Order: sequence, then structure tokens, then C-alpha cells
Amino acid sequence: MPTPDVLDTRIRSLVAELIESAPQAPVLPELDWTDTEHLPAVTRSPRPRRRARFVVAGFAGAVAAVLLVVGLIPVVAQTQHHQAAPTAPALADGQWLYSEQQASLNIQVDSVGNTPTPAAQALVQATIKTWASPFNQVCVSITARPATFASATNRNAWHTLRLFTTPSPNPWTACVSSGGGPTAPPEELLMNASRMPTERSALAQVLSKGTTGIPVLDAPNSELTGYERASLLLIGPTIGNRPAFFAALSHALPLIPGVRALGRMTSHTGTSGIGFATNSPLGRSILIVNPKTGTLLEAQNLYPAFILDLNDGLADQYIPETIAAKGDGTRITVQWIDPLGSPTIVGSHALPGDLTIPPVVTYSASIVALVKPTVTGNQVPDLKLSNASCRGREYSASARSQDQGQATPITTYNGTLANFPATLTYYCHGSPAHAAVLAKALKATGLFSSVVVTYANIPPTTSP
Amino acid sequence: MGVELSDGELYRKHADDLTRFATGLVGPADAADVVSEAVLGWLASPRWALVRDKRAYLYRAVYYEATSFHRTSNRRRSREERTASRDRVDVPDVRPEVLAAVSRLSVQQRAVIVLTYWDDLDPPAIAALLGISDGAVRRHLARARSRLKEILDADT
Repeated sequence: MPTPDVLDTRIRSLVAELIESAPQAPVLPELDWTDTEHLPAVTRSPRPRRRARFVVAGFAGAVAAVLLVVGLIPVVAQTQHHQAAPTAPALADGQWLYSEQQASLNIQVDSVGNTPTPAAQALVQATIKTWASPFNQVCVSITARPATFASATNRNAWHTLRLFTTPSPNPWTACVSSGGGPTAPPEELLMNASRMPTERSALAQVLSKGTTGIPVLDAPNSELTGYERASLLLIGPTIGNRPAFFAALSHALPLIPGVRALGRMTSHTGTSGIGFATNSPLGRSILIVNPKTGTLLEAQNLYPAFILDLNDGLADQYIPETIAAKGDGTRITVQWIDPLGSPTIVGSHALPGDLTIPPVVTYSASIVALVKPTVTGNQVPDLKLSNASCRGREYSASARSQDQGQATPITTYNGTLANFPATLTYYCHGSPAHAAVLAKALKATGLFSSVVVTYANIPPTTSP
Repeated sequence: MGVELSDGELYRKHADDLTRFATGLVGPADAADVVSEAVLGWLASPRWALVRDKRAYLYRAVYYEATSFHRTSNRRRSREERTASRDRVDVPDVRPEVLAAVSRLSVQQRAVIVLTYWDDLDPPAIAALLGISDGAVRRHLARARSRLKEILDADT
């Protein structure tokens, strides 16, 4: 039986062994933010990764998608030179939100025609400038540097395919007008955050559920994750954002399923911030935000979904038309992207003179046609997807094929639709009567279980 | 008059002590979670701004968090989910008999034992830190020693 002294010694030893097994103290970056008074407890749970894809039919849609995605890269925010959170008010007519970013990207030409070319990879650095109008006219200019290679094998494969090392054209420029309003395609580049909640739990919820009120973030077929929605808002271009919004956004990040706080991190330029990560097929996507303002310092390893359609933009600078004509499987991933300075409001005169700015598009109606389960893919191509008044898009269901590229359009299937229920969506401009005529024609085909027309200022009507 | 620390600085100053304290209360595997929950949860309280002895407040937060740690199955499930989603943390080995011995103490007894034998605090100091009476500390300490004596006797 131990005496009291011996007992104390043994208890002390036991306690010491237990305490010495203590793990490292957890890092709690939330405490570095300024308004911790009302922080709710952090809760998060793992969630399967989903992929974001846009299926765009038609040239106009493709161009819009290119700019959509290029627009996701170009960004807003701030650098080490700007400590105050940038506030981008609503834009007036004649004003453009200008932002500039620097990015390092990996271009991988996986195949040319049917020939695999996995070694054809290059690293490029680019400066991306974006101008966005309040009417969703967006212009992008990408100035890229000559390609560099991680290995001689990569260089040889690149040269063997006669891919460009020096980008051409340089800069690459394009403009698109995607329109706006309740019946416009959900592809606005300019995101308006003025109505987003600034309480972090509420913000995390709308980001996770895709109920932000910003069409491009909420599009049901985009399959964006909460992390990706937050990334896009941080990257911008975003208007109507207040300092409180950015603070709330960075506070909301650790509440989004699948996102974890990494604590203090340093961007590749040496700027210190708070890191957040989520798993992605690239390994780990990371956002580093300014702990004082919540604005983006750097985004790393963006999943290809963000940049799928960059293939039509940035990659054009490196892939000659002769290769593109054969069909190239090109993937571009963002290694890192840093905002340069804060977004600023400029007048029209500040846009480069060589940009052709498209007119403002006003959409008068949209039509959503749900394909019957008995319809085969062969029947759908017979429908003319676009006409003079309405631009058509194909959307397949969320359980789409898990390829690396775009979701497979339903029109490529030869049998029963694999991704039922699939929809055709038309965005119509001009007279609403055109939409009514098209809806009637769609209904007459007998291929759809429902055809819903939504007019810009009129409640939706359904024809069974 | 000293410079007031920010929440982040204050936490970093005491983080290791709090984590060791939590390890004594719930074991090494759950200590980090308890500290995270306690600190983030309690700092969200409107009372936080009014607290004078913030170190004691943080200790109490961990103490109460540990007390409620095993109470609900939902909590456990949530904890496991978070653990699953977190980067793996290597926890140093601790002999199972040590964990078994401590597991037979109440959380209150563990707290008093840890603060007595690790931090070398006397009952009044422990009482002030945890916000309980001096008498309660002495009762917990006496019962914990008695319980551990039984356990250690059985082992020998």
C-alpha cells in the first residue's frame, strides 16, 4: 500500500505521463479577426467533393463561358500595398470595374486528335485585366509570358507538337455581353454582393446551399461547392461588397463543409495571411486571405472547373489553329493567382481602344424544357438549339458523367438518356412573343414533360 | 498598466497550457477539439468583453467544455466527423493503464488532480481558477486521491 508521499509521487508521475502526451495546441485563426465577440462555435462536417461544370451550347454561349471563366480568374481584392478592404460600390452607367491579377498557370495538352500527349505541359505566367460594366459587359485582356517547362521531356513534347512557346496573340482580348435580369443566363461575371448576409453562419449557409441570390453562383447545374462560391466572390469581380462582407466571408469559410482553417500562411510573394483549404482532385485548393480585411491575398490550385473554358482563351495563345482544328484535350489549372492592387472604377475612356465592346443585351424571357425519360439522345439534336431570338443551352442532371472536361451534353448519347432528367434552357431577347412561339414549338414535339416560360416582368406560366 | 492582448495573442499565450489541461481532462485524442470548442464558443459570449481574469475564464471554458464533452451522442458524432475531416494529428503514445486510471475519475476530479500535480497549484488557487469553492476543490482532490490509490493498489 503506498504511503501518502509515495502515492503523491505516483500520481504526479501518472499525471505527467498523461500531460506529456498532449497534442499541439490547435491553431485558431478565427481569433485573429477583429470581431470575435459574436463568433458561434465552429462546426463542420466532411462532404463529398462535387465538380463544377457548365454545359454551354452555341458559339455565343461558349464565348460567354470563356469570359465567365477568365473572369473568375481575374479578380478583385488587394495586395500588400492595400491594407483597407476595397469597397466596390454599385456601378453607374458609363463606369467599369477594373481589376488586375497575376497568375501562374499550368497548361497541359493531354491529347491532339486521338493521340495522347500527356508530356506536353508548360508553365505560363500571365497578367489578366478585367473591365466589367453594370450591364454585364465584360472585357478581358490576358498578357502572357513565354512558356517555361518543368522538364526537358515537357519541352520536347511541346516543341514536337509545334505548340507556341511565345504566346500569340499577345495580349489576348475578348469582350462579351451576357445581359442581366431575372431571365438572363446565369453567367454574369460581375457579382453583386450587396444583398449577401454579413453574419457568418448565415453566409456560410447560403454559400453551401447555393442560395446566394447571385445567379452565376446559384445555377443548379453548375454544381459549385460552397468553397468554390466563396472563392469566386473573393476573386471577383464583385460589386456592392462592403468591408463587413469580406470580413464575414472569411469568417464563414471554416463553417463551410469540407473547408478547414490552416492558420497563418504566406503567399508566394511573402504576404502573410490566414489559409483555408479544401480537398480537390488537384490535391488541395487553398485560399489565403488578409486577416484584417478578409480580402483575398492568393488562391492556389484552383480546380479545373474554374477554368475549363480558358481552353478557348488563354490556351489559344499557345496552341496553333492547326492543332486546335484536330481537337486538343487541354486542361489549364491555376497554380496561384494574386490580385494586384484593389479594383478601381474607371470610365469608358480607360478601356483599351482595340476592344470591341458588345451592346447591352436585355433578356425578355427564358424557357426551361424538361426532357421526358423516354426520350433518347438521338431525338434531341433534331431541335434547333438557338435561333435569332433565343439562345439554347443543354443541361444534364447533377449525376452527370465524371469526366475531367465539360459534362457530356445529352445530345451525344445514342440510347436512353443517361443523365435524366435533362433540360433544355433557352434565353430569349427581343420580343417576348418569340419566346412564346418557341415554347409552343417545343411543346409540340412531345419530347418534354414540361415547358416553363418565365418572362422578365411577368410571373412564370407553365404549359403541361 | 499593461498592454491588452488581442484575442489571438491571448489564446496563443495560453494555448499550450490549455491544451495540456484539456489533455488531463479528456485525453490527448480529444484535447485539441475541446480547446477549440471551448475557446471559440466562450469567446463568442457577450460576457467575454467584461471578463477581467481572462486566463481563468479560458481555463473554465475548457473545464466546462470537458465536463459536457461526453454527455451527448450527437456531440460525439460531430466530433468524430470533424476529426475525420481534419488533417491527421500524431498523438504521442500514452500507456493504456494511465488512460484507464484517469478515466475512472470524474472530470472535476481530473481537473483538480492536473492543477495540483502538474501546475502545482494549491486549493485556493485552483478554486479561483475554476470558479468553484475552496471546499469543493479539497473534496474533489481527496476523492481523486482515494480513487487513484485504489487503482494503483490494484495494479501492484
